[in-house]
Amino acid sequence: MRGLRSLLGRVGVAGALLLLLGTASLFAEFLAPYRYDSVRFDLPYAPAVWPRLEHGRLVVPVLRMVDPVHRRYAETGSVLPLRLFCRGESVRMWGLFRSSRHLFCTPAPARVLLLGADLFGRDLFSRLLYGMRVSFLLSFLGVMISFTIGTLVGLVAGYAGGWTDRILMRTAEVVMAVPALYLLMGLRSIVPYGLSGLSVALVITGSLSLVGWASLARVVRGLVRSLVSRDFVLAAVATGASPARIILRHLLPNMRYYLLVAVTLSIPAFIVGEAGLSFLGLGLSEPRPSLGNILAEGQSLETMESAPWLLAAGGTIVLLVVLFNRLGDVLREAEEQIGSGKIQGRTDKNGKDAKSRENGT
Amino acid sequence: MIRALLLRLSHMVVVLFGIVLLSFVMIDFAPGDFLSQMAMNPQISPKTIAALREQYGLGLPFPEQFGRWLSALFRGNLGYSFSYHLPVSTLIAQRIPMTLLLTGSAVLLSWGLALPLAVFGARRAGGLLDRSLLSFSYLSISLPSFFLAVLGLLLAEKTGLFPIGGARSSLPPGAGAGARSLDLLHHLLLPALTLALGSFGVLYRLMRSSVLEVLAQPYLAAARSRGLTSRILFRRYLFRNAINPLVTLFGMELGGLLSGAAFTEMVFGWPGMGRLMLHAVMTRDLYLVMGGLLMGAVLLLLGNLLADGLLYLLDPRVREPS
Amino acid sequence: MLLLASLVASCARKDSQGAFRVLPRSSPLGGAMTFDLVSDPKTFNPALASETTSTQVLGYLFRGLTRVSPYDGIVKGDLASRWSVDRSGRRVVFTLRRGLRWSDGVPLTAADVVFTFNRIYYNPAVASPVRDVLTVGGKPFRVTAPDPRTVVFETARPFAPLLEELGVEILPAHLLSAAVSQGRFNTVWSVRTPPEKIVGDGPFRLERYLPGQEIVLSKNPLYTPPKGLSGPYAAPLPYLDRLTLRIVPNQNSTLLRFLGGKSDLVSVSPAQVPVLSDKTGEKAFRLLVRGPSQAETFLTFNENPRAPVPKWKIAWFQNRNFRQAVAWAIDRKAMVDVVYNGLGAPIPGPVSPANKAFFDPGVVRYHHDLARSRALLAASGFRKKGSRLYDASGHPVVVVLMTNTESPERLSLAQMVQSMLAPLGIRVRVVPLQFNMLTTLVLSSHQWEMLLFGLTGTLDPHGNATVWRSTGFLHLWNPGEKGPSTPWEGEVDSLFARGETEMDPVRRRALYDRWQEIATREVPLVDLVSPDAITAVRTTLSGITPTPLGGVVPHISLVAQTGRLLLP
Repeated sequence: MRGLRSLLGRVGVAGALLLLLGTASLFAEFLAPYRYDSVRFDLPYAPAVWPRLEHGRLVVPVLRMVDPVHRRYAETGSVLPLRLFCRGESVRMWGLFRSSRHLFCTPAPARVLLLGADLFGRDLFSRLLYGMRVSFLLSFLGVMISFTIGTLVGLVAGYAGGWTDRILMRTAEVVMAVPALYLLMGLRSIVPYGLSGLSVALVITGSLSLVGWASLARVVRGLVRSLVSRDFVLAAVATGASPARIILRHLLPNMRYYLLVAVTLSIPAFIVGEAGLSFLGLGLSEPRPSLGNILAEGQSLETMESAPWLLAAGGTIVLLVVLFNRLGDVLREAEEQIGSGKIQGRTDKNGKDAKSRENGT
Repeated sequence: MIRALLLRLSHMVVVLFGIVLLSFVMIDFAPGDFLSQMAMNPQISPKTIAALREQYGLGLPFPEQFGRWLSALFRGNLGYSFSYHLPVSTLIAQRIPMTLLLTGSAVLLSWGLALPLAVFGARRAGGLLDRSLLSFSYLSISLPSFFLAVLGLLLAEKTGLFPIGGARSSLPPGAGAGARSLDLLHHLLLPALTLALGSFGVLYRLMRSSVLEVLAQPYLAAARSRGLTSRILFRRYLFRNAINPLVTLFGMELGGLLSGAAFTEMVFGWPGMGRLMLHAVMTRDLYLVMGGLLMGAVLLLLGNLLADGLLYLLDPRVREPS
Repeated sequence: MLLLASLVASCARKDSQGAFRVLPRSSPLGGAMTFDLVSDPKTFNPALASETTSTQVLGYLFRGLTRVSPYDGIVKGDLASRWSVDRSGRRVVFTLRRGLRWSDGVPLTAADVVFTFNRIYYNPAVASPVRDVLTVGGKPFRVTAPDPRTVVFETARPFAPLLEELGVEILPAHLLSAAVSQGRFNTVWSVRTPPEKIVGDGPFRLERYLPGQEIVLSKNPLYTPPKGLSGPYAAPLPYLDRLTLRIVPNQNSTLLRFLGGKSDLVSVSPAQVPVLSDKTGEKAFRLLVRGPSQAETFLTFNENPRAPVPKWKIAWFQNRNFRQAVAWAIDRKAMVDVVYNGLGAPIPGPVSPANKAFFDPGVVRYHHDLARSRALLAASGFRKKGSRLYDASGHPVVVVLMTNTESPERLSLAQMVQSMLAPLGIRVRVVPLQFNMLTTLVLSSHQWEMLLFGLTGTLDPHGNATVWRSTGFLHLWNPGEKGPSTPWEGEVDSLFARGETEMDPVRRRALYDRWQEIATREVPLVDLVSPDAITAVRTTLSGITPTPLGGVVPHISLVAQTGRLLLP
């Protein structure tokens, strides 16, 4: 019982942080002081501008570009007040209704830049919030599609064996060997050019997961092949369990560790992969932000020199990876604890062993 | 056994045909071809371009174009590259040694380091080594390979310990074979390391979780209670069972040996295939793309075959009851 | 994360212990110069080279009859010592310099010139991309050689740009005529040919080529410089013994190699200037800014009535007021500041101001003036409701703007256009596409609305004929016209037709002035901005001078290496 409580406590840390980030990105329209496409051509790569306390109120200094070559800025001396729960730029909340309420904002020409600005003077903080939402959405969708297909194909192929196995695996090989780039370019030519927003995002996700399932299917198939001849599966077959039951009840649970880790590993792959697609014009097109395309802008020598803060997108990706992986580990422990009775002959002793081993991770 | 192998090999031919046909269709499907990049040059008239298209055989209907390429392939001819005016086989043969040197050493490094370290780390899960390796793998998973390569190059420029890109320095003509191979190794080190870093994280995480999963299995406890020493335990049970998913992944890794390192090769100026293929794809150099694709597909299929064979050897349970 | 942070920090910090020292060499003669190429050359055959890397390398190995001065654009002799144009303007007689020899020692004669034109450039079996510029009205020049030092060119009608076009490379007949007769010319002198087999007449010859790695060129001892070319040192040209060209496909790497002392010269984009500008002393180099580059970057509109685009959209694009409204809405200064770090200039028209021989200062100059844009739109019946613009028949003004993904700068400019047209109520959707796909859409299926693109011009305005003549194949806004569809296009057609045959420079200039005025008034192409051309050069190199029309190297033969670097 004590173990369970401490477990919940620890799901809290990684899980709560993820939940926090997710919620923050969900309410980006309210939390971000600016729209993701709100440009200020007089503030390219402007450094962070924080509100400060002056005469008992929060104010934001106004910046002026003094050297366009090196992107150097100076304060003009004038300051404007920072307001909370104010009316600022008008946005469509979740694309549904108009709202102009923001958590905080400041009137132009001042601009709060918690993390600095990008090339077009857009607020990086606001763009990260919106970008995180898109990246969350795309990677979840993509992982879901590719894992469903991949696991299913792998399970069926591995369990059925014979010609089913051969045909499915050879198909997977074809998918793996045909370069994704060409698949996407072919796809690009049928997608109408004027498409925008969610539809583009769906096309991206769809195309990414269309390629991603094959390798997973092969791994799962290999795992299943090794499981099907084990005693507990043979026993289940002998008792006349249906194939579906065997797959769901006996095979799937036994590879859940691998799947869990693979899921946590492929989320960043989807986030970063989306940025690569922008190169083909298939990615999320600007001005819409995603963690991937913000990072893509930040990784040249010039931007590392003049706007290192763009690497915050990379930092966010690292943070998400760590959190997802931690969450994966914690979920596994939780399952080991709770489900130790259910899963094939796991003794309490072993469950505890595994738990104590995992404690420090 | 022999029959199964032959059956598998005959399937490979069918799969290869599928891959080749599908790729050819898709390349044909995307608008534009190799010559469309000339179309925006004010100095070159459409008439000239049409004549060139005729010469290159690009204007033919799809079945004929594909048929021609395929029949040439059966005669061992991969066709000509449009941009280099050279046989595709010559170009590819030129690049293969350097590419294999880079990707091969990166694979050796990452697998050679990740597997033992993961077994070690998993058995002392939560220890200092395991925790630092885990945090390291988080970093390696989340950074794109392009970015890692740029960081590597920056390191070279700042420290002066490594050459900044390229595969060799301009050595004096009298330099011996020893000096030349040392120079090559010096150039190889940084790109191979960054490439290995990129895949280390994933491998470490996967292997570690596999080992943990096996460690939690009842038969291990049973074996332990029977008094088997930990070394025998490790050899006989732990490694063999934990390596299963990794073996499958290893097979697929072979498919990426030729053109999987394109970005690293570009940033480090390594004269490899990945760079050649990326450029060929971008300029729509049809037969060069198809040639590279074919080589990659063959390697992938062989890798998968190898992986299935290894699984068969390592894990007797995989064998189908006959 | 720590590693990352420390690396970034060390990149941003200026480290002083890494300073280079320069030691003078005992003699400025000899030595080597190194610079990086972005990709491998694709061929060593000058008649087949179609992309810039190959042509750049081949420029050191081969020469033509004439060359263009990078200072003023005036045509000077190279292989030819002098020429005369007869009264009809249709016959030019060139005299070759004395003692010309190929790098294998065989004399270079008029027979080589005749061979190059008649058997190679005009040979339909040769895949040469330069054939088109060597014709007038679709007819090739008649090239004959009455004696070994005289070549006669006869054209079907007077052809003003002839002298400039004759800068094309001349090839050795004694080595290549067999290949041409056997139909093997298209595969001759490929990148696999042994270097010593490639015989040229330029200041350097090919010594070594390692694919994907480097090209080494060494001094051609048999080279003789053109008339009037001389340097500060009393020694035969070229001064350098060796040129080493490393193949480095990535811009970050190129820059880091230069900063690490591995190369002597690198061309720099404006965004890279902040990385370099505070290291000039420490890393021993100069930053040379040559002013706006020659390339023309513009917005254009699909005015083609046969295009698969809604009719009402074509109607907006055909409306001069609409195009002018767009031209007035663009804030070019902001574009220069944002995309080019303030290092660039608006493009006033189709001819660059650096091209003093032809630029017309009287062109209409557009600047940021939204009031004018609004007035022009209102005059054509466009109405703004809320934040969106509607045309006279009630269609919302929404356009797709395409550009190519290969150039991040163009992508940035396209996004700025999108924001700059927003205040007018024009909704723009930016669609970046890969170059080959984009070209096919624009030129073959005509499935586009607005395009942000660039073309490299030639010094002689006649090079623009393929774009500006209504029948030209790059008449982007309305390709494939049988004849001019508007009066102004008709006038431009006749101006180009007259300009081609007008041999008097003053009258010729007046014709092209008129064209520039029409072009900027009708704005089928809305010119945007161009970046400054910037080069970073090691201080040890001499013979480096920024020129308005060429690069920083007026002639490769005059470059000398006066010192060597002592790396820390």
